[in-house]
Amino acid sequence: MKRRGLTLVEMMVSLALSFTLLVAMLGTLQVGQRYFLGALDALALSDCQYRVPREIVQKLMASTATQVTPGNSTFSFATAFNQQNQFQVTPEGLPDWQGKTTYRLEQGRLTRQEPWEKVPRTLTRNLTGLTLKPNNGSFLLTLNVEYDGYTRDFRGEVSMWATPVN
Amino acid sequence: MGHPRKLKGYALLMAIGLIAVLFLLGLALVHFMTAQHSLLRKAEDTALAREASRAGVDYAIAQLRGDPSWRKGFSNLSPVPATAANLTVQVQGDKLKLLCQGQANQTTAFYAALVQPGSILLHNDFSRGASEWAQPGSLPIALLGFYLLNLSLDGEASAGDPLWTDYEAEFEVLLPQATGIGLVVRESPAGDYLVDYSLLRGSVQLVKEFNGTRQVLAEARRRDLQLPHNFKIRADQADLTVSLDGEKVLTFHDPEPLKNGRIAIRPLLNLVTLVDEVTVRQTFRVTAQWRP
Repeated sequence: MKRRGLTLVEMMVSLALSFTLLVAMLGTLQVGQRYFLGALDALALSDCQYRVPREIVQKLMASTATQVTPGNSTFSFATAFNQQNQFQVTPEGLPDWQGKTTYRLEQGRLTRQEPWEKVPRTLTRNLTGLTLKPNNGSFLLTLNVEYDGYTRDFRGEVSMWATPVN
Repeated sequence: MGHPRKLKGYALLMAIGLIAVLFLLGLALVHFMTAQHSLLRKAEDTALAREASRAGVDYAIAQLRGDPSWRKGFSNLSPVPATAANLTVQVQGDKLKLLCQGQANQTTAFYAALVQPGSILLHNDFSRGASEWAQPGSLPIALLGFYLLNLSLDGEASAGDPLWTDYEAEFEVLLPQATGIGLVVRESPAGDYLVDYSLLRGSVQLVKEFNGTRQVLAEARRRDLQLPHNFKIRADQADLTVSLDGEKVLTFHDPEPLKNGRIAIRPLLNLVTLVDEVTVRQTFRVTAQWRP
């Protein structure tokens, strides 16, 4: 059977198709990379903006207003949760305080130290300020976030109120 | 056209391949958007479930305040729209553990509370005697539905459990004219709180007696010569409240409170005092709340 090359038109069409395919592939890779980096940013921001403050507020609510030491850059409060994260009560039904949980901001790193821990544990980075202010039995937690991400930046405050119920 | 058979349709295959790649890309994008939406919904469901569990416990606490014998819990209550809450009541000694599961779609959250339900600790109408009362040096005398005090009473008459902590003691007494009465709560060897009502002095005082010292915590002018009086003394943690004939007359927050003890009655001026009725109610109290 006699073989022959592509005609000019066929060549042009196939080149155009190949080019489009290449562009689509590169675009896909770029979109994928952008989504991946965007997801990393979203995760880091969600840590600073939601997960960490919500965790602090949840623990603070299970504490008691008389055993909270508010402050700038560091604060602490009594906790009745043990190492297995079980809430401990006395025979009288009152919270059995295990010690104090301390939060501290050191060089942009927010750390938490539970009563049974010897070394503080890093919770998140990208913070420039941490305060807990008392107000009539309630407390205002404020985190100053300064985040330079791959796909977006964020500078601002995250504030949450908490009232210890025990 | 003399195209070799093998090369026929090459452009079509390329086009189909390209369309397939674009289709897959589109699918991936849709999947990504769906995942984002699911994450948002999950976050929303978590917040709803947490609120539902907390509101469920609040609802149960309100039920128990109204009816201290309430134990049945509930299921499929909807304290927040689009949520369901199920609550169980577990009896743990004299306390109740309330555990509520809040649910929003497939997401669940829990909230727990330990409560001390309100109950009657002591009730005497003295129709059948006054055997619950201890009088040093003599036996209690009940006559015609009254408890007669100061017939050979040396000091005071006391009743109850030294371990009582938070309670409201209500006394119905008949006072001889121009005298008064001393009513005591949280009495222990270390000290007590005394409500000293003296018609001669013309005031009602809240006094803390501790290790031999006597400190007036609060005082209100009062001189009412009527015979029957109703006293309510509430000791709730560090807060003390005294009501006289339905009117709140004294309140005090003691930063270093005496924590437990019995009740007692001290007639003044060594005159006969008639006690008509005494009731001690344990106060309802939420002792601990947490999210398991």
